[in-house]
Amino acid sequence: MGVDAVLEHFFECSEHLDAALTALAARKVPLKFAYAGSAARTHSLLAKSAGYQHVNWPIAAETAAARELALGRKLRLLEFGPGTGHHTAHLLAELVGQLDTQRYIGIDFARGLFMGAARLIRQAAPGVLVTFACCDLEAEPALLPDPPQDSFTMFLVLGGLLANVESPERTAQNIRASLETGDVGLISVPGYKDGTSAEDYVAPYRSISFRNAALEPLRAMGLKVEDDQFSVQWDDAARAVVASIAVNIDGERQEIQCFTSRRFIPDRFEAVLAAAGLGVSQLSVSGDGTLIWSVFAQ
Amino acid sequence: MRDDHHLVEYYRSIWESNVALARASCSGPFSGAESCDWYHASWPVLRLLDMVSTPYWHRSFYEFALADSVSVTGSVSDVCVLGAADFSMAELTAEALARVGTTGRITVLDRCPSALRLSRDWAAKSGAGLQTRLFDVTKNEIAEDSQDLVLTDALLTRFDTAGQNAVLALIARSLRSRGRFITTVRDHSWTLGAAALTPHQYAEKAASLANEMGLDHALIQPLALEYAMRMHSFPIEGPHEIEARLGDAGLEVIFMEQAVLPGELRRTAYLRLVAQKSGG
Repeated sequence: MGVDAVLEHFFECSEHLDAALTALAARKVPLKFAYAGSAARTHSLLAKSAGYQHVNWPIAAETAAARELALGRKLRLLEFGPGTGHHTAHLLAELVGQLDTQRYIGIDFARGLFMGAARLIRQAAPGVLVTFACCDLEAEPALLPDPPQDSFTMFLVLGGLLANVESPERTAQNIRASLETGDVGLISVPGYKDGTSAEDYVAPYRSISFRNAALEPLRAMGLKVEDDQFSVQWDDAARAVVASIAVNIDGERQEIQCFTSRRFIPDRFEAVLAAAGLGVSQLSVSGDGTLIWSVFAQ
Repeated sequence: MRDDHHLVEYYRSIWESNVALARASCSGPFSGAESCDWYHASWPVLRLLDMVSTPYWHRSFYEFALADSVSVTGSVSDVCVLGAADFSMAELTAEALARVGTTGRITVLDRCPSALRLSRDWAAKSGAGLQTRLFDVTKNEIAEDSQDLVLTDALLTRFDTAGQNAVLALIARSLRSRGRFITTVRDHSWTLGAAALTPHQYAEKAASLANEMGLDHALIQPLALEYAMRMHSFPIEGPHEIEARLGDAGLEVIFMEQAVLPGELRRTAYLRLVAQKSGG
């Protein structure tokens, strides 16, 4: 039996393909599909780009907040949306010897990036047991094992996860429902800064690697995608970077939204957290404007 | 949750003849019985009722694991399925490989001719290429360094600790350098608090579902009862243990997922694993 040509573009599983096609019918393909299947490869390339790191990684500020939350405790670390794991591995590497991380559980919609993420996390925190829980946090909370009796749970929601989902409110509620009362964590989201120009918000996304990552799910659905039909814009009303592409579907030209990344004002985001049952103990703002919330599950 | 209508129809067409097949051709022993006919006679109909642990409960995981394996290596030639689980492991493997544009050479190994017959019948009906081989994991060997992928579904917990270690060692020997082992195991460390059905409750549930589906409940109820009474699992106590045991066999865990499913007699936790043989 011979080996055929491996497909270049594919979804992680048939469930994802079905869900993406349903979303396509509504002309909006959620960003979560850009992290799975063949898109996991394109996203990994994106994660290594300087623009991506600029948008997502305020390591120094997050390190300080994490140290304050968890110093001296035997730790079970939960991360919602670990992605490629680069961000978390950097954070854990900064904290090696300061955090006693026994157990790490990554919770994500797609499995594809987690193999690489797990390797990076193990390198950054040797000896930690690393497991995965597959969950679409936009739809439901994650079901997680009970923590070991002598450990303390800290959770991470980094890299703008809540900025990129269709409903930050619903996702925050599902994150809270995945936790036990008293669990503490860090949530970081990109902040909205008065005086920042639209071009300044959009500039980090003007790269071939970002375009390829955002368009990969559409290619995996078999759509003919032309790079010059892709646009990235700042939506001032929504306070969000929005990317879309015009494609032909069944002979009709349609605009498909394939990326949204919001920017948050502290008061409004704190209201989202409160509504989800997450109390705030501290807010810090990094040099690049990222809002880093130290929170606890109420 | 069921979206496998084509499989439901196929199971409808084979389950009753399968009971006779199992009684006639099953070998043994298995789980305290002289023959595995109680298992192979009941499994397809319990699969039809969605009441038995099946590879299809882990479909999205297997699709991911196979797609990832193919995309990393660029090709997969030799794939071994250890433990047929009627035809479902062959079907799921072949379909998952086809999703990413490849076929591979799939060999299904099982100690029972009934299970292999079901796999061959499915392959003949679907046009899939498949080899089968009668194989006792406690006695036979797979050629060393011969497989790119080895898959088993919920097989390890059929054996005690010594047996599990022997199976893992056999799998490790059979894999090529950087070859992968893909499997699921029940996670006994995660107690979910739900009360288990008794075997008689399980059988009554099977009979009730059979009635709803227009199936012969009088034939199905005793099959379900014997399954529930005989089916026994040797525990693996969680992620730490399985990671250590795989490591001892020379297999590095590169992906481990914890999942909760409705289960057979109770809600059940599973570990879904991809492990890799170290490179030469």
